[in-house]
Amino acid sequence: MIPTTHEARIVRQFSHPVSLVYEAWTQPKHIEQWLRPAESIRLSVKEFNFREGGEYFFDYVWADGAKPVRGKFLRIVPEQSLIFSWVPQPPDPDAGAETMVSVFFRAEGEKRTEVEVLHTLFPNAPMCDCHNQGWSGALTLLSALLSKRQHINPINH
Amino acid sequence: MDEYESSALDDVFAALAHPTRRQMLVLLENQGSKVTDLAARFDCSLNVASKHIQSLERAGLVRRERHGRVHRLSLDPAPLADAAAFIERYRVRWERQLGRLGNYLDRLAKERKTPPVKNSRKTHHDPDHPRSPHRPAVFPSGVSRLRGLDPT
Repeated sequence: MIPTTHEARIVRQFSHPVSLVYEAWTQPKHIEQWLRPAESIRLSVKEFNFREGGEYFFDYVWADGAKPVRGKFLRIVPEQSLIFSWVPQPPDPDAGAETMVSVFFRAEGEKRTEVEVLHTLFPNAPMCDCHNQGWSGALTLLSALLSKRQHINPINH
Repeated sequence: MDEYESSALDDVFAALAHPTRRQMLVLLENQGSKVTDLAARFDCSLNVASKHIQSLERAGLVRRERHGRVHRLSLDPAPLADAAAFIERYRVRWERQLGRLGNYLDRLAKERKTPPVKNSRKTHHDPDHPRSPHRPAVFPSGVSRLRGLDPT
């Protein structure tokens, strides 16, 4: 079960135009409907300053309590890509982990869209271009150590 | 095997955030080292090197054995299992969320193909040029439409 990468990568196709898919990702009323792992988990978007550098606050309520998430929009390229930080807040046990979500939208003709989501872990470093090298280095190391660990303790799938 | 019990993912990533500490881990990856030998490989004071080593110990990535006055360091990649578990959790979460997105988009598209009565005024839409960049779409005011949602 131990992946050898530092990120979760999901690719999915939708039989809808990219404009609709992008809209669903960028408007709170839509996000509240689908950006939940299950119907029973509630989400209200408390803050949504949709511009590069703007912040959002997602108030998630799970069966076992609140697991809010805060983050910042780092890059917005309409109908192409969205990059935002994803920082779980207390009382979520994951609070403190700084992670980043990159979403890529690829129009496949008029009516189909491919969406790629990369959810990446990265260290607690201030986010600016000068640190990119820093944390990509950390991630390379993490990948190397994880694969080494897997080599030492083979995991049966 | 996993003596590391804390879920302090942030300590692990804070430790990995500094190039000197990453370099230390790389050096310890192949073989253990005395604190003084490791510190000597870096262009910084023993005091500063010690701070870096403490950060790695706090994250559980480095273990220290004391043999009298000699302190030996070794690498312990176990805390990275927490990072791996986090990644797996989010992979499953995104699978579900994107599944929900698919259903939601289907519903949204259907709703818009049969708009409510007050929005059913005919739009000035030329089906031969649905997306011509030279013919910016102009819609009657009050009619809420989105580009790319034309029922073609």
